[in-house]
Amino acid sequence: MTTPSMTANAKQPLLEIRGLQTHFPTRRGVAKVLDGLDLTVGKGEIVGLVGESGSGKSVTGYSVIGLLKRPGQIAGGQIIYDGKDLTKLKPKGWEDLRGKEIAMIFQNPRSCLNPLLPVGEQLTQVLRYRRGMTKSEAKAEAIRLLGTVHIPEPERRMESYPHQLSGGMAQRVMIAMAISCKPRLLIADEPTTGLDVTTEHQILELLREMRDVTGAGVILITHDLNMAAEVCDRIAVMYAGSIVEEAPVLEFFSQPRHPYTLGLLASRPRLGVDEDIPVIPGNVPDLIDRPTGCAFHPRCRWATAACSAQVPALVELAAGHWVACHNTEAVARDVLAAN
Amino acid sequence: MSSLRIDRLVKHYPIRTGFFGTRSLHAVDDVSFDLAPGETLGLVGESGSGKSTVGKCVTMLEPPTSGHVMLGDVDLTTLSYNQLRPLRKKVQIVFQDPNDSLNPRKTAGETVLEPFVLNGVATGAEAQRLTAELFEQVGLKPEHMARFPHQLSGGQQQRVGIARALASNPDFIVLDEPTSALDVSVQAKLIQLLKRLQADRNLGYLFISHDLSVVGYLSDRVAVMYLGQIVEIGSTRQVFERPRHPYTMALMSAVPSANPLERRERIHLAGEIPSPIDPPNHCRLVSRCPFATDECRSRPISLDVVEPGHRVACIRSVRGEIPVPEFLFASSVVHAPRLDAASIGLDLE
Repeated sequence: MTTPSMTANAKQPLLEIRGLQTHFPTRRGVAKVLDGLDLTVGKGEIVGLVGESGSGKSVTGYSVIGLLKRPGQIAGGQIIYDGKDLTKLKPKGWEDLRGKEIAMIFQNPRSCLNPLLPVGEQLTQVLRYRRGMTKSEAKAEAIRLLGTVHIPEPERRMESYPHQLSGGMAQRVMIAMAISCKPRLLIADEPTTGLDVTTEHQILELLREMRDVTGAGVILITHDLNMAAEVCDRIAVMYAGSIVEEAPVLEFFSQPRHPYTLGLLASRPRLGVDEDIPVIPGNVPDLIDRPTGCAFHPRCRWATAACSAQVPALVELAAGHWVACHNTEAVARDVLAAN
Repeated sequence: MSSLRIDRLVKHYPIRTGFFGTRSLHAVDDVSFDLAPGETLGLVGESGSGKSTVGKCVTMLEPPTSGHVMLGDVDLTTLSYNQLRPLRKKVQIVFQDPNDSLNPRKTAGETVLEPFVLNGVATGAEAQRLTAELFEQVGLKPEHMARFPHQLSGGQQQRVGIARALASNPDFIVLDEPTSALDVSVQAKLIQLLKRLQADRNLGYLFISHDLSVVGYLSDRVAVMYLGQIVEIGSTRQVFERPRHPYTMALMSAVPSANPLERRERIHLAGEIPSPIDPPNHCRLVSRCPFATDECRSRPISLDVVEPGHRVACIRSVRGEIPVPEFLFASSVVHAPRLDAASIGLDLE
């Protein structure tokens, strides 16, 4: 899946997030939901952003597309898209970017569609407003788009209201809407939540197909490592607001190095294996009262004094394989010994 | 301990259409299976397949339209409300969303304590003591007893739901997607707990889920539902490794494999699950099945034995006309990650 041209493109990233800090002031104090997040997305690349609830994956998506809800705010860092720092962008600047260059697919498609309008109407509105089409042009294009996302009988479906569509169908409409303006960066936030396995698979195929056709860079936000393995070129694992490990997909699954990644991989139930599932002890940290040093250290069996003292930086251990851990050697030694 | 036997269970819901017409929604159509003490039967299927309705009928929360729910020699469907009451505690249920199924105005302790009083097991200090014991068994701390559901995390809420089910000292528990709302690491802990409780108390589980990896891990046997009917039932290994029904084949082939090197061959079904309102008498997959013939559209189907313990509702598969895919059962998810010492530049002596 990773072609040489794509790796070349990855060197000139489409999106580069550097040390992003997104904070939510609360009555108890400031919740640092993103705390020094680094992430790059190349053209035509699908990057899986994986983490558990509360790790900040969705907030990353909202930060990039400038849809953070108050009181959430970007307190530091940069989001470089196409040479521009999006954190400095004025509302006017967003108008030309959001939905057009950067589009987002949300978790619950039905709640994002207007329940009072037929989906065709919603699609043509976007096309007329965004791409300046006439009514008839927009209609023809909308039908074509519904066909591209494999909706059977697109003409008839134009007249359907969101409640008349199944979850999978509604998500296809959302994808059609997201790609209607040929975005260069697509953020898909848990696009298959609530869908059945067979439908889930179809939506993932569709995402990959859209990437191949449009050459857009894609951030796939998911909590499901298996799903990320299916479609992503590269996987980045988030924990408590920053990336703890990032690697090309094959390397990620064959050579995981961060204790949290190892824990995540091991805690998935395995078919046909009748042993106990190893669990990660403890719970996700309180984002207001964060642990000192590495956010994962209270749950880590390899934690040393350094881990509570200093935040580990992301270090490139192999080509494209980045890990934020003070004890990568000790971890690798133990994993090897266990095999 | 007696086993639980579901015999030709049917659940139809009337739907009003237009002014006078009523049609029926066939949520469950002729479903039979049995569940032994200490056994886990996984019930899988997509949304709308009727698996949750089966769970509700098994616990008699919904009276079946016809069919029998046999607990030992007693047919629960023939009992009056008052006769049923003492038997209800034998078959308990844990719901998918603990946030919806726990009373928001009761503390976790009160929720778990209630069944002791209702079943006349204990009152006062003794009930308190039993509650505290259960809290410990499900891995909750004593201080959680005073908390309200909204003050607990999703995993903790689900533990309260399990503790409440256990308070009736049941023989069987219907687990309706108990881990679906939880993160993987929390899910793993809960699965661990369920396994331990089963071993300690010889509980029979009807485990309803659409998450095939969890079902595969927990279940001894698996039943696959499609549009209100069981289309395949067998040991977990039989169903996962050598599925015989085209629907199961599609389902198994869609399980995302965590090992990117090991892509499964896909078996595609056309279209989407049809409406359960007045479904046809013959095989319900015909409109989507790549193997369907005219015969499939005319012959009524039945669950037929293809090998010991393995039954399939597909006339063509039973005759061996459909190639059986072989899925790697044990390796469908990566094992302990294998680090390669050389490639990571580690010097090991």
